[in-house]
Amino acid sequence: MTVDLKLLIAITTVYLLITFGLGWYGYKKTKTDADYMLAGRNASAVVMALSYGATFISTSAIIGFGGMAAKTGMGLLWLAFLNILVGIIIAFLVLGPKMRAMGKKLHASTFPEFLGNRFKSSKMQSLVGLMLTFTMPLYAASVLIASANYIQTIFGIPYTTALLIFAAIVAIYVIVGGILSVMYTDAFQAVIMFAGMALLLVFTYSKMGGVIEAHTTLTNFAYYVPQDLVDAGHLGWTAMPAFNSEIWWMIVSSLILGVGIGIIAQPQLAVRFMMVKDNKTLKRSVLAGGPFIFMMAGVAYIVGSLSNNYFITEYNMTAFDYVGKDVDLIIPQFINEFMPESFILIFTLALISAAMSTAGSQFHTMGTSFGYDVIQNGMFKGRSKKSAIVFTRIGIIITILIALVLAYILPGNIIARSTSMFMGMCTSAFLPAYVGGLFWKKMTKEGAYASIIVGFVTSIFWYVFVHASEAVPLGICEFLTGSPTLLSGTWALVDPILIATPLSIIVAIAVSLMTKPMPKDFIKSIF
Amino acid sequence: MIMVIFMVTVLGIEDPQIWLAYILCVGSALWCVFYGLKHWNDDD
Repeated sequence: MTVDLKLLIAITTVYLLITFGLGWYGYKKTKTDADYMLAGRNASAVVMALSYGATFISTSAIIGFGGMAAKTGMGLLWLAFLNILVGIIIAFLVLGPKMRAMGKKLHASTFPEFLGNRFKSSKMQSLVGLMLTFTMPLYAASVLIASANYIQTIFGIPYTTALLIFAAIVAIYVIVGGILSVMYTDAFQAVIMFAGMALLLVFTYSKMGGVIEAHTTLTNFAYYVPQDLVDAGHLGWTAMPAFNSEIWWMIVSSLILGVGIGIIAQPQLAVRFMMVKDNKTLKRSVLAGGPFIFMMAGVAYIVGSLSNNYFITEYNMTAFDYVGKDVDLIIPQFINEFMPESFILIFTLALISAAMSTAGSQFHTMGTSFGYDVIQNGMFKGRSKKSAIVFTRIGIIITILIALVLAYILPGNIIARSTSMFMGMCTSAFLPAYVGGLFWKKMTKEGAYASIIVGFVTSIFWYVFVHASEAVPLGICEFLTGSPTLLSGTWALVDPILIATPLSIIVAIAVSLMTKPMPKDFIKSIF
Repeated sequence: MIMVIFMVTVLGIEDPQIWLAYILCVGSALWCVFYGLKHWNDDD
């Protein structure tokens, strides 16, 4: 990007000093295990909302999905709506209060521990912790790859150096200060993200002649859609793709439903509800949470689509064609060419903030899953005299190293895919046990186990053998069966979440009804 | 029909599936603001 490197380095240095300052503040306020793991169950509404939102929205959500909107159009706004409806309104007002109260009664400090204590099975805690230890580094690696790619481009440093610097900065404040440091830095980073995206929206609309003019121009450019996309169902950037077409299935099943609904069962987000002291804080958090998600996801999809106005007017080609059909390059290219230099500086900080805030929470959740749930409570069975902080710190270091190795060896184009895969797997594996555990008194330990295993295994199977987007590049199905996917036609387009999650829910209900209910006294004590 | 004409006039988008998503995004974000303000001092 054409920015003054000295100025960028100076601003980034100030930004990092503030980040470390807030990390240090979190460390100084951390006195107990509960502070390190759960912010002392006393986080304020503003910090909670901004931290949740900043964790929710990663760089790939802005660049990857914004670029996807540039390719497929404003249909992705349904995802932004679901992000607000499900990720904020339902999560904070329906699931949050129940999770907060029950988590406290169960003395749970982590998502795996919540499930383990709810179903009176320490092995379930270890199992879920282990599942997160293996799958979450893949998601974290995608955030690291996106960040390192961007830092490499902006600062002109090698990929490996960018990767190590970024991971080290986040690791330092997460390891030292725990979740309090994560939440304070998240809140600061969220403010920068909000400012960056708000400026992007206002500047784009104003430079394109206003809302109506910008949208009308985009509608009139529909004939520029490349023929291969038209054949796949593309009807223009201000129209939904043709029903049942290839693009329609990709948008509706993978992106809108997969990511939109999948957000509920994200362990790094669900655990946040146990970090506030009362329901009033959750209600207050909604005030900042909704607008924040709109300003991140909604604006990325609107501006991503509108970027076509610029590229078609300037170069007589769509954004997707202009960048060589790599959707991840569209937003950075658009910002670089369309926006003034001062904005590029702000937007760069906004993207670094998005990456750091998501990575910080990922590191903390991976560390608690491995260090606390698997090692301390699984292997040592809680007998060690060392504090949970020690085990969590060990867990964070080990899982960050795993994520770093993955970020080094995985291809760059895995960013959006691995994000969707992680969210899909979490939804299918954990949603029935999590929601059932919160609201259904008849949910049994066996039902929870069955749903977790069926959801996880079905999800993996569908990714590897049926869903073409993953099965074809993975090549395992082709190697074993000679065919790229086991099923063809529409089935190969249906996201695993639409198969594995209903199956997991059915299994949870059926097995729970067939097995011995949990003790009445216990159920009464937690509901 | 009147709704479609209204939305084309206000947003410049003809497809109801798109302007509805657009309106719902903005509307739900605003609803969050009003809800948060209204319940700011609610008892737990």
